Amino acid sequence: MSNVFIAFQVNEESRPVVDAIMADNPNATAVYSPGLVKIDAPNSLVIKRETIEEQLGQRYDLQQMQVNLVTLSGHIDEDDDQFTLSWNH
Amino acid sequence: MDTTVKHPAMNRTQRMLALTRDLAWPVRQPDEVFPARSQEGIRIHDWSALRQPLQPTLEQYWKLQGDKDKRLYAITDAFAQNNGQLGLSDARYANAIKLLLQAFTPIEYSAHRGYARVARQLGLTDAAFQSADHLRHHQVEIHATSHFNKYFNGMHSFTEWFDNHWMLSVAKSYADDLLSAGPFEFLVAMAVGYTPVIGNTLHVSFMSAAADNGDMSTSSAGLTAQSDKVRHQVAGQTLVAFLVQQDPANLPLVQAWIDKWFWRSVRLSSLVAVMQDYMLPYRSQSWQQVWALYVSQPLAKVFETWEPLGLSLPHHWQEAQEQQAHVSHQTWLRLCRYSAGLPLHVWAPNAAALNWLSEKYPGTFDALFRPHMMGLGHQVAHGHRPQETTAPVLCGTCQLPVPGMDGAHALAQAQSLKGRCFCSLPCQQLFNLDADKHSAQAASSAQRHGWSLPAKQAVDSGLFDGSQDEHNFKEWNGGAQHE
Repeated sequence: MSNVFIAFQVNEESRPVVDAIMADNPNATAVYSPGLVKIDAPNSLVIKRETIEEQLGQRYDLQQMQVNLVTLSGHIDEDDDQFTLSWNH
Repeated sequence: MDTTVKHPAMNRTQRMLALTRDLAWPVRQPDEVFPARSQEGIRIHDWSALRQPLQPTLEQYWKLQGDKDKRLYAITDAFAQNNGQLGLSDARYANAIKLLLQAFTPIEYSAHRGYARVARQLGLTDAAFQSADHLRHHQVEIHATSHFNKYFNGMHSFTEWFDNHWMLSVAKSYADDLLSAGPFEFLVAMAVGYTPVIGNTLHVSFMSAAADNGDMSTSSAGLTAQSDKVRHQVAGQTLVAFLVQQDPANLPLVQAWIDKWFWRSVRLSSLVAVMQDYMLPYRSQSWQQVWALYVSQPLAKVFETWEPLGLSLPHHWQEAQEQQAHVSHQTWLRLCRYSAGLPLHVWAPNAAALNWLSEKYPGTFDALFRPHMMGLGHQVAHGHRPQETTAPVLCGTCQLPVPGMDGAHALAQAQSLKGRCFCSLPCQQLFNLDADKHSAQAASSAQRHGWSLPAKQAVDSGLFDGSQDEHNFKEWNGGAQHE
């Protein structure tokens, strides 16, 4: 089993994204360091537009995530509704 | 507000392709339009098979980058307006920013130039974005740190030092090597060298630690730069797999570039290692922890997924892992020894720092480095200061000082070897693979031996204890005064 991870700057824009990730990935753990939050998850991690929109109460384009994205590890599978990190090629 | 949103007919990837690559007209004679595509021996049969995740369209790109900059400049302005320099953990911290500006900010500019060239040589839209990104990184680092330049020494002439000072030869030669590489080598170098090894350490864990040390300005610049670099990392790694899948002849070429650039980046990361372990008054993770978390573990996993393609871990992977328990301490001791001629300040670590290092490096610090650090502290306490201003012998490949080669005798010995002195076996092997190019580099490093800081810049160098930076910071009553 291998972890994938994704990290964001800590701010009010990234908070609903982080909350949505934690809601959709029960096995994920978030580690906060100054200015930075790193979320690790075993095998895969999914980010769903719908969950972020619920948190936010407004429409959200997953591309906006890039404004506060810092780093990630894992292969990306993305479409308009979700963004998945995993080690499957 | 309940208007039904009509989803566009094309998905994200289709839209991106329709608005970028598919806008270009088919080139009937690609060999004549893009001669550099074939110069390195790489064979591409189907460019359309190259997929680039995270890639925005041009319209999205401007919007995203604009949003990023608006956030960043709000923070850097607030930092400057609020006299952010007074909130630093200590004036020692400013030296990490000096090293960032002197060694890494200029490489960002080289990467901007490199990607611009590659975009034209290969006809690659992504590289044009990446070129603009690196220019942005160069600029935001200068903007974010410019506030410190008003209050601290050691920042005003960073480009001059980058070009001339032996300490920065490791960074300058890295940039020169990148800029003189062919387009595919450049892309592989950025994908497996600079971005994962330097970006993921300097621009992630160090920048978080910078925030902890009261520097929201540089921290925000570093983290927002990394938001572009992560896109480069994804694009670069996709490109490496694409190259190997296109033709069996590409595999040995790509593997050789991986071996070279991973090692060169590892050597360059020595400077990040001292920033992380020695230049942060409020300490966070050790360099070795950062290395494991952000470089070694994720890269090992990437290579595992590349194994079916025939790619293997960089040739000197094991040496690189072993080095991490030593490298920050070795580099710091060397900087201290030559502090009289450096464009920044160094110092003997205090008791708390020594204990923290012992705890973080249980296998090596107490046995190998603590006595040296304590000896240095003892000397400084008794008014003795390192005086050496001449440069040490530099490795023919990575341009870092060769261990044990100090003093006039060693310099003469190195001259007789025409620069063929090496810090390690991997560097010697890399030199032999491209002896002409590295010999030229060694010649330029010989010129650096004849260069020293102009007398008027003496205030920028020497130990931190007794420096103008130390004096000023006390006068302003800045920082937590914890040390």
